[in-house]
Amino acid sequence: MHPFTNYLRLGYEHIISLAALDHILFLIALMAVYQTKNWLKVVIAVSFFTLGHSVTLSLGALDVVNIDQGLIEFLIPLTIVFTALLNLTKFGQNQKSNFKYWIALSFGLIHGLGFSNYYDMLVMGESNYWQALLPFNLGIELAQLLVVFVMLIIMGIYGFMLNKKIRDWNLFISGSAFGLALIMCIENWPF
Amino acid sequence: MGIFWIILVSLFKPAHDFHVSISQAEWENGLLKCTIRVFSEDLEMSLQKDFGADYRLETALKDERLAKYVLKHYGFRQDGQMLKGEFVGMEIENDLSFLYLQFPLENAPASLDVYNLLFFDSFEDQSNIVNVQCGAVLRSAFLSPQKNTQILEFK
Repeated sequence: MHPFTNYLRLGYEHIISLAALDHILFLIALMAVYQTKNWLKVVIAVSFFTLGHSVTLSLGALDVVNIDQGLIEFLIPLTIVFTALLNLTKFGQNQKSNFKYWIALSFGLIHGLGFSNYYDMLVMGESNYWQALLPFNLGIELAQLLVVFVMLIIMGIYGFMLNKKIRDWNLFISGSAFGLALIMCIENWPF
Repeated sequence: MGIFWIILVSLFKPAHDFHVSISQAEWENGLLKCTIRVFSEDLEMSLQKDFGADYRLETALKDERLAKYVLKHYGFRQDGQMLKGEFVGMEIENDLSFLYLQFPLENAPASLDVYNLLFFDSFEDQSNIVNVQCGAVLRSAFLSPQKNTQILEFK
């Protein structure tokens, strides 16, 4: 194997393993309002999310991202709470709007801060800055797209075969995500 | 019901543990030189498991048990033969520690059996990546507790 493949696998397995359930919860909440036919919008939104946390991970060398880890652990579930609440508004349910992309991008920046201890390991000692960082981020994106793919199938089955409304799905998912993330916020209360 | 929620919530952690080590080895002029980067915290914790809870990484360099520990967990086999390694030193840079090893190996190898068992007994999700450069050929092994050795071909 070439190192590229192994760094890609490292990023992929990091999301797929149970280590990153908060990531997956965010993705599921983010895509809860979309109908399966709007899958491309979901893929774009998720890619904006990856872009966001790739940026903060890649900026790990700068002190700008040296924010208190306790605060980050509070902010990450807060992004999920906010996304779930937004899903309940008419504005958040508008599938045509591009606003979700910007939400995904900016919340991605926050999620990336939770990766701060990865930066040194992936960059220091590599002959090239991107050698490990690029495939690692690509691996994360691949894993997230897989999660999206599986969720789209489940949502498709829910919508077409069971003939249920995506609105009910959204209420169920957003409610669950809200509850879980709210408890995480309280557990990680930094003040 | 309460327990169900506690288990569910405890699965969602905002700060992910990243159990990884990455090492680079390069064969040149009869010597295979290796640098292993590990998280200082992981290394200290593993050493404490073997040598007692008050073991400190800062003093490990003066302790010959460190060299033995590293060489026991990391190395290469060629044609079924273990390569005899030598621990050269360690540098601690905040979160990361760099372990330096070398293995005398007269000719460029056609293939090497790589192993790196570091921290496998501490973390089920530990991944150890070992990159080996031999002339123009770069190969990489991905090791885990489920698969702790891998053969790399340099032909």
